[in-house]
Amino acid sequence: MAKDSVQKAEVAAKESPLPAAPVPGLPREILATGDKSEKSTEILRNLLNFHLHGQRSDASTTDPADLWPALLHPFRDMRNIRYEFPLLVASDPRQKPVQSLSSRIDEIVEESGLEGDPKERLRRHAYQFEAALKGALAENSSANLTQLARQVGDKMLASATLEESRKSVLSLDIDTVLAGLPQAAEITDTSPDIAPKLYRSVATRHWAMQCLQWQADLEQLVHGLGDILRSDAENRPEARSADHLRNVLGTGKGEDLDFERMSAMLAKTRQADILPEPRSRRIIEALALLKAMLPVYGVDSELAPPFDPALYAGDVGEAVVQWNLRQIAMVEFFRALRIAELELENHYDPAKHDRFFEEFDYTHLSAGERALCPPVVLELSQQGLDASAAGALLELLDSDAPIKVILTLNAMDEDEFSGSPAWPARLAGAVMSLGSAFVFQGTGSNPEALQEAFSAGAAYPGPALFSVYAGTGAGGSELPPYLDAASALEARTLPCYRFDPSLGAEQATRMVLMNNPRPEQTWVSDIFSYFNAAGEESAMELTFTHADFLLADRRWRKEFWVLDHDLQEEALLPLVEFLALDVSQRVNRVPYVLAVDAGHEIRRVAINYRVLKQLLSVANRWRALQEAGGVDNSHARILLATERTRLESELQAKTVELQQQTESQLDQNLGELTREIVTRIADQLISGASVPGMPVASAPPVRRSQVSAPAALEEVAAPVEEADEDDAPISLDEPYIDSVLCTTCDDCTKMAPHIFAYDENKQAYIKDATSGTFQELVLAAEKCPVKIIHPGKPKNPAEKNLDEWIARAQPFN
Amino acid sequence: MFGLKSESILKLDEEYHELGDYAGKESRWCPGCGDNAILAATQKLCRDKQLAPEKTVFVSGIGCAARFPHYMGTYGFHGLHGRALPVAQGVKIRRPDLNVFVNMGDGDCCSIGTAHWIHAIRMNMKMVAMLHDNNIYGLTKNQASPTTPIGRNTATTPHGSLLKAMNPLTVTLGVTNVSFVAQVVEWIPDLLYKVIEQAFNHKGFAFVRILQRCPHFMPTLWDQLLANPDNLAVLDSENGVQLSDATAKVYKTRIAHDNSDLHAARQIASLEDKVPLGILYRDESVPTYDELKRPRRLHAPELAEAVLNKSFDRFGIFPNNAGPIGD
Repeated sequence: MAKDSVQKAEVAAKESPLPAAPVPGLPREILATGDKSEKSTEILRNLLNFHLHGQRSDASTTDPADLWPALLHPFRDMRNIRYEFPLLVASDPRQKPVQSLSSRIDEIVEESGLEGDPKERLRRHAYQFEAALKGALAENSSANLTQLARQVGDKMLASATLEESRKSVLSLDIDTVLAGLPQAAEITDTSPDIAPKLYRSVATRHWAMQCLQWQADLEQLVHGLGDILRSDAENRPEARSADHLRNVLGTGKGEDLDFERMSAMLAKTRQADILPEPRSRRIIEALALLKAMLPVYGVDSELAPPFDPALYAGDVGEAVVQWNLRQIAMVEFFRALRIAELELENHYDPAKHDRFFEEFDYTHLSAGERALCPPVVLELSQQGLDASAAGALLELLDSDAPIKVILTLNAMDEDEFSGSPAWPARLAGAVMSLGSAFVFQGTGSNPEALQEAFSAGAAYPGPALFSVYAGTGAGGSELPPYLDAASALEARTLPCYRFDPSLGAEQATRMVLMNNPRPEQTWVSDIFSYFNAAGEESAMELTFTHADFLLADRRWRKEFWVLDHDLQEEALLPLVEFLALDVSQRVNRVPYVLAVDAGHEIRRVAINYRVLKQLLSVANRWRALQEAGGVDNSHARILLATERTRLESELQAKTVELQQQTESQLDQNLGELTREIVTRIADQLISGASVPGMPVASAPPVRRSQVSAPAALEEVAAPVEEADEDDAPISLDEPYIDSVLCTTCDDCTKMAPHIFAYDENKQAYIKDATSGTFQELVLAAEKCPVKIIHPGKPKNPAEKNLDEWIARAQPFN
Repeated sequence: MFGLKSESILKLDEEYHELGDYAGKESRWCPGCGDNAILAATQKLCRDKQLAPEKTVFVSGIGCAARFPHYMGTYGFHGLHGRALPVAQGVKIRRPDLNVFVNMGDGDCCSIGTAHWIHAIRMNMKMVAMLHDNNIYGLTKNQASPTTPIGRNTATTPHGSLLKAMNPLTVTLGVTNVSFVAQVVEWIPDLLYKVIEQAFNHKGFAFVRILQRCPHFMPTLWDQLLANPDNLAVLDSENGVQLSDATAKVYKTRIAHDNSDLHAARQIASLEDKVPLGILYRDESVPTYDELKRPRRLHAPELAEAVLNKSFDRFGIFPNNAGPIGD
């Protein structure tokens, strides 16, 4: 299981400066030796009593404490297993926020530029360093990376018993690794609070990026408003005072200039207009509101912001209060912002805008503006939640407020063993059915998926719920938190999925079942290797279920019965086989799972009805999720079956039809062929006997159409050509200008402004030909550079030298 | 900003600007001067695009053409000899929201302002640069400019100009980062308007050479073109300008051209027998300096002062080991 993500480190045995960690050997199968016949009925009664009522006959004996589900046995020593943890969480928002130590170490080796043996040596040293670092971290779940890495490096060198030359190589390699690790980062192992920790890192980075994009715009706006006020201040009479003038010029020139006289002189000059009182008040107010929000958007400012965007709420009531505060601040801010935009363009019209801005509230904010509201982050843990919070939480998640809820789960059972309410573990499903909130459910074992979901959820313009199980921590599971969380995913106890309503209206695009192993199966199975009773290495396929998950939980231990090696009973059967039985066949049967104890011995563990009930409801929920996520969807299956039946029957009908057609065609062809053969034979017989030249009897009579075409079909008369209006002759008697070709050169309009004028496109036309002489028209036509003035015929026959002008007008008409 | 305006519920009543709103003082150019045609076309463009007069700037250097800003009802900057482009670039870099137009004569652009011209092409900042090319210095009374035809008698070349005229098109097309080059004559108003419109739509530095009449000093300069419109070849390309029917009837010569092909554009620009009209070259993908250089953070006076003071403090001498004030 999870073999892809977990690989064993190649630990250099010989050269290792550290004592090699014990590699767990394969578990052993123990042969049953006891006799069974005598106690058979009593044993069966005891087993059934346990299975059906939870009562154990041997309550006094204690089960082996260190009992692990069989499939998890290879992971007993996590130090030599390379997996997603510990994580490097960068504190600098410009760096990759989260990366696993293993992948960073691999990158360092690849980036080293070494090849061949030196590279392999560096790899080994780096892996040793990684294991040592993990060991050092085990004491506390998170630490400063640079410090801890330095300590571990020094310790490795100090404890290494190597020749000087090899030691210096080791020292160089450790330096390479140290240099490759990110500066200013925290190294953190998996822990129950990994989700809020990761979310803070991802969300801080996301918010910083979002602010970066519009900081400049916001500052521009603030400075634009400031400019208006500053230039207005300079226009006011006070600005002409001697003191002000002195201040403006600064020090050093005080003695050379007479500011009093300058002020007196300026007082006589024309007074510039100053801003009307309401406008300057409006600008001052808007500016103050904008400036107050600068620190929220990451701009350095000495002002205190109206709220602290980095403050996280710890309970639902606090979140509601925070949201209300922010909502008021954001509405005021965006009102000021819009007023600022209008004022900068001087488009603010009190008659129109005053009322709008009076009624301005959260509903008026655009999607883009809402995205710029810093979300309220609510960090909850399953433990502390009481039922009264459920309603308020659902209400919050059903609103359109940007509230991000990070819910840390610590109990995966439905009973009272954990002391935590069960409903929070089902909250994600309930919220998904509301349809408007971003929902993520997953485990802390996959930081990559967490990180992706967190950044998508942080960007989602509405509420988001992240429901994360990161292990129970001490007191709960036997397993370390990573394995605990990973096995919850593996056992379908807490499947991973994401529901993002911003991806479209359809379930298929919104909902993704992801990172679940073999999503098409109910349970996951894997190969389990062991030494059989004969001491040979052997393997079998084992299924990992919710029962295995519960087995690792100490609080559930009394619901499991570790059976004696000697116990032989036909009523016992593996859980998978038990589940495969019909309910009626399960009577008098007791299911068991396999586990391995601290002594590497394989044990059978019987389970009781409580475990079975949990297992069945987990399977039920997984099936419902499969359907929602489009895996073996029953609607689709039914539709597919119906369509298949329809298509098959259609196909069959078509086949039958085609067959019939072919047969009838064949019959017809056969008939025709027979007829033709008979006719030919007859023809030959007849022609052989008849006089040549006689028409063949079978030939059809020649028909000649004598009917002439009807008169109506004679050629249609050609259509009468339509008169082209454009080509209609323009009277040559009237003067005119081709105005569209006029180049606006001012010649004609300057020569005879009483005759020529410009139209709305600033091109000349003849305004009034009668107001001037024909001579003027002809002179203008001659002067026109593009020759578009046509003088026409003179209006006044009494004009002087008319003959000459008519002759000169000729080329232009 | 932030996409708020389009989403805002407020619907601002838009003011409509008429052609007259873009007119400044009355033109004092000679009657018949081509500058009038360019002015009319530009004012029409401003009206059709409804450019806010307070958001539009015309920048010029010195010369007849440089009087252009005076005749526009917008903001303007009548600059120094040959310095129209650096002023326009300064305006654009500080106020990217303004529509910037540059009007230069052939002396302004191709003689004293050449260095600015070359670098303005390379920097490719969004603006429309119009070269009013009448092949003569008009304002200084008939002096030879770089585009004056060889052999022409002028006040500065009384025995005829000795050098072959410079071709501003091939120069522009030879500079790195060139992104829009067009040529047009001012006496085809339809084409003039459409080319300036395309230049305005262009993302970067749009260079338009406008062949222009000077009725006073060069009355016969374009006679060959005016008398015989076939000498004008309109570039026929897919995303070029389309002539109106009335204009197309008069100007019939066409050259098929792909204006994304820089090499072809250079060949066409070098034609000697025909005058190509239209868009020779355009490339919207060339990066523009104003975008590249757009300040990410504002340089406020207070910020500058704080930084300066911090620097000064490093060299300051403080009595009695007292640190700088406010430390």
